[in-house]
Amino acid sequence: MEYFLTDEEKALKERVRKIAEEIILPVRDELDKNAEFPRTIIERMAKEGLLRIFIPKEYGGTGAKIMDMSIACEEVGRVCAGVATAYAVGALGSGPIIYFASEEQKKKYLPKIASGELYCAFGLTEAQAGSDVANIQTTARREGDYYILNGVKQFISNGSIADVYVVLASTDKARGARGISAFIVEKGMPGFDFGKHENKLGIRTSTTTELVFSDCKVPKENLMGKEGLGFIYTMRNFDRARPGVGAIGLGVAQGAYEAVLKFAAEKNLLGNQYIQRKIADMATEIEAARSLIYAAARSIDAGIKNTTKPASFAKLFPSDIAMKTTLDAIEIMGSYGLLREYNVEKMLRDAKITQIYEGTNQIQRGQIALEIIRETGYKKE
Amino acid sequence: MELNKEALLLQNEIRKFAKEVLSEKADEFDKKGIFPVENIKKLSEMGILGSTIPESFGGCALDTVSFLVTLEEISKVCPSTALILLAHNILFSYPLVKFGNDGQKKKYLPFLATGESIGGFAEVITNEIKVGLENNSYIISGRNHILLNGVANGPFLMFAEYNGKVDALMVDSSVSGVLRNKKDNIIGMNCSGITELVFNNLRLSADNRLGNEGDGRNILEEIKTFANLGFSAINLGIAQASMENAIKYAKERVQFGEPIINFGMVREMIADMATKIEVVRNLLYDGANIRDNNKDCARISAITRYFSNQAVAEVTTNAIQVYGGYGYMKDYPVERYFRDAQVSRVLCCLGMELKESIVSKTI
Repeated sequence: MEYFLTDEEKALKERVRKIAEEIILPVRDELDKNAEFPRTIIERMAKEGLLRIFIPKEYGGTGAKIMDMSIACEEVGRVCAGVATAYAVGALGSGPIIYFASEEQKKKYLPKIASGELYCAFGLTEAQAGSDVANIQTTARREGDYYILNGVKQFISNGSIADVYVVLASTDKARGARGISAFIVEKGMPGFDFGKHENKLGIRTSTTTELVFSDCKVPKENLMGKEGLGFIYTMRNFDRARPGVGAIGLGVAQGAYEAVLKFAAEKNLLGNQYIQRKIADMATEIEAARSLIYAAARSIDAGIKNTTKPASFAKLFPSDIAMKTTLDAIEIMGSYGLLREYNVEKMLRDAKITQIYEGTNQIQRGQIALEIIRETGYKKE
Repeated sequence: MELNKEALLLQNEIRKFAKEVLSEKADEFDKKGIFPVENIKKLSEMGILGSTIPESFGGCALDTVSFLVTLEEISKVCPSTALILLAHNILFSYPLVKFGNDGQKKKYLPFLATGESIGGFAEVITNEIKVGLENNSYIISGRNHILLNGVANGPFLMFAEYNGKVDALMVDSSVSGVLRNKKDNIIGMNCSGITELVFNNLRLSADNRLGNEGDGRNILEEIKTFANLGFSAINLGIAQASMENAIKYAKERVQFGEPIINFGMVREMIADMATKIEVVRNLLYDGANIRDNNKDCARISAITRYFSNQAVAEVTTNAIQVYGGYGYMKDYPVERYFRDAQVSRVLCCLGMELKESIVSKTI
């Protein structure tokens, strides 16, 4: 379909596709098997300037456009959602710094994140704070010129790999969600360590780790924005990041669809109406997902004030389509679909996370419904 | 669907065995890809490896309902073990009993019944072989990506197409020219002992053919009719176990100050799971009863497989969803069930062929 991308966007799409096929495709299977972080690939992506797209121009980036992020995430996800996750976490981690950090903090971190000198990650989830983000137990206590952090963050993508972490911790437990604050924590700060490395179903090349804070001393300058606003920063950051997550799912669906098409052609099945029907449905749903992501990304980039609903649309539908397309791909390919060498089994394993991370699809549905209720003025109860 | 007394007794016995014996190492065997030799030995002592073999050859000739109950119960705990039993009993022993000549039966059945040899099956879909015929011998080269029970090194059944005719052939480890390579390249059923099969000009005398020349298609249809019920029983076990795990987790997991089982979106997933599982169970044992009454069950078995394939895909996907991030980690059983489900929903069954067989028997 023609989406009337700008020349720059078209060029970006082509460039990312080329890089993904050149450097990720040949090794994606090994990366998955060995659950090894794709360091050299991310370094190469940095060299190609792909980490700059998350960062505003004035800090060495190319504009921090959600549209660019969506295009890049789809193209990387089409080849490997694990690498796409490791890559996109750079946007999730840098987002709060871009929008809520002080000028000094921005100058200190963003140019180096743009160049790939520093990797970043986002430390939010905890054992008891999954969907219930506000239930964070990690605490930050002010002592002189420092905040003392204690607690454990769980399932942190790029944990132990990243150099800079935006970490949410409670500075005032009594205030609940309004007592949560955001900190920039650097690897190597005293009392900051890494715990369990997770062994996952899919996106195995993306590292998922616990962050462990034991009386971790963080300089008071590393508080981001104001105390108590961490929860709001997090929600705003999600509103911007969600189309990128949807785009990873879209990429997985696109990859699986192409694999099915190739398989059906090789096995002379394209004349079969069962196959035609599946291919037509897959293609339609993929275009619908892409349209939704682009529309949400354009709204956000245009500065529209409340983009919670479109952002959730753009995460919910594409990730469900990723799941549906990969499940169907295996059905069509039969036992071939179970084999590693045909790649769709990996895509299926990868697809599942897109329904879960950065807010489960149940959370997305809840948010969409609440926005609708608010917009219409109807009462919830 | 009420089970009869005998089937209920067997169900209890197998359930107990699965819980006390199989559950201990199901996860470990999955992670390490270890074929559960000891457990299969114990199951053979219980007679389960002779489920489809007549008593005259040392088997216990279970009725269909009883055998499917067995598969379902084992699948709840270790789907790989259920697959081993399915391949051995339904995909190898059963066609041998039904289509083999006396010599072939005497040669294999007594050993299959006791589990001294484990029967295997070469997946038809992934067959990539060339077949020639020379002096009443088949000459086979090429490979097949999937040999069920390959590591057990027993006799296996394969299908070979020659001059437009399909023949069913039995191959055992006494012949040269067949290699079984362990590859660890399959998404699930990691401890079921699947291997790749490589043929280097295998010469196989026509004595190893089941039935006459060209009988292969009929034999395969016959196998599929039974196998569709067998795989549906495995699907059912996986789905049931996934739902039970999801419910248990949802009752324990507290978010927003209450167990997530209280939330409508979780409850709806459980309602969908329960409904689909109940439909599968009814279809399955209805089909099994029809088969036990010696009536044609081809249509209902295809319908059962079609529905249970979809059900197990959806239930295992949503079981992970109920767990959220935890479900995506290998520390929880729903991750393994999700992978195993992919195997049980596609083996010996191409989606469009399954639908076609339902249509042709319906219109």
